[in-house]
Amino acid sequence: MPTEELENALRNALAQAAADIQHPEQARQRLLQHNYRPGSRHRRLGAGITAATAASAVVLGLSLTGVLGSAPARSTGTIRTVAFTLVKHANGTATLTINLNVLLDPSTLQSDLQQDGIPALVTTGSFCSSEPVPAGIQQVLAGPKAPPGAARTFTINPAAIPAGTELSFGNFQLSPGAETAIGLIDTNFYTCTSTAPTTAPPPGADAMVAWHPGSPQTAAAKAAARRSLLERGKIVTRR
Amino acid sequence: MDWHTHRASEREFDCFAAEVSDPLLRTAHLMTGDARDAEDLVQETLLRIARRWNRVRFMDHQAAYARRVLVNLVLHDANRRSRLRAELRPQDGAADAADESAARALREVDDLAEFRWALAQLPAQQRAVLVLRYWADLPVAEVADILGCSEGTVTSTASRAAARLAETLAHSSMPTT
Repeated sequence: MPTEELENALRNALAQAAADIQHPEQARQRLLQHNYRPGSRHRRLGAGITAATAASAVVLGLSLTGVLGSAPARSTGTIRTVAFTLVKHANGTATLTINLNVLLDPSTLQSDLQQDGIPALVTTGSFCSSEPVPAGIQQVLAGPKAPPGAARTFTINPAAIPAGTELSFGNFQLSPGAETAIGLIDTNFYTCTSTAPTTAPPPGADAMVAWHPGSPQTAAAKAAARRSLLERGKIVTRR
Repeated sequence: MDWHTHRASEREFDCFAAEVSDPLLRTAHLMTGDARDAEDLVQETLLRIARRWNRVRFMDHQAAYARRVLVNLVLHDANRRSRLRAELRPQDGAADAADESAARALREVDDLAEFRWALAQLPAQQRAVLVLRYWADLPVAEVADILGCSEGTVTSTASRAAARLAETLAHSSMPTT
């Protein structure tokens, strides 16, 4: 453990170094004047990050001349962390394995999925869903079902994700172990609940939660699911 | 959400961005050593939070959440996440003598640009520990939670990073511009 003397020396040196930084006000104004509305273009301000991604992109044979915006997508490859592994295949699909014994950082998984062209909303301790439920989950997602506590492996086909929708991943720590709920949601309208689904839903019930590709959902089942969510826990609505 | 509620939400986000942008910029600059990288990272942080604003606005510790998003971006850009836990290993052996030497070297720093350059030479995760622990002044437990390691690993990494920082300052070959 660092000595108190060392810790004080570090605090003083870092405080002085931070206070000495010359650019904050101009940079701050640029940041505050940026348009952060969803859908607005993200203009890269500097070369540092773009240069770092350029180095890897050149290896993959991609051209980055004049690129502005988010980091270029991977063509293939594996991202491996303690909590999950994401493999992008040459045919455009991706295989995601989630280790349910490790606490998942939702922003990291979400960022990596988006980098692979998979629009996603990843949450921990809550699950977001839309009413009506967008159709097509069976074309987007395939995966074996395993007992709670095991790893979950899914195959994702980003090309099948309908326009205006994204995948919703909700990670819960349940008493027998962790579990992940997955569904398709309308990007502009969804509700989130902090109450974890306790069991995998029977066909037609709790239609907004799909542990794996679910069965067709009737209007009555959707309405029942909506009532169930409203009764069970806090719902945050975004319009 | 009606128009008035939407505008109120936008104003809330604007206030939040104004409040956190300066500390986020300084954190990012300390962690990357580069002003432009710092701006890019903070812009990306604010963009991600804006996209999720309708959830983030209800959080109790929005600034802490923003800092966590920023740190994850820095470490993700360093492309070392898969090796992060392997590099953040507990260190055994007596470290007090090294700590005393490092403390002395840090007290003698008189060129802050050189100090920031030396800081930028550290591996990303060592920089993260120093900045979060001794500039953001976060408790060991919170730093451990952000970085996904044990508290013991945070303290030992801090010692190791400080020793490496002192050694870099002692043999400084910072490029001149």
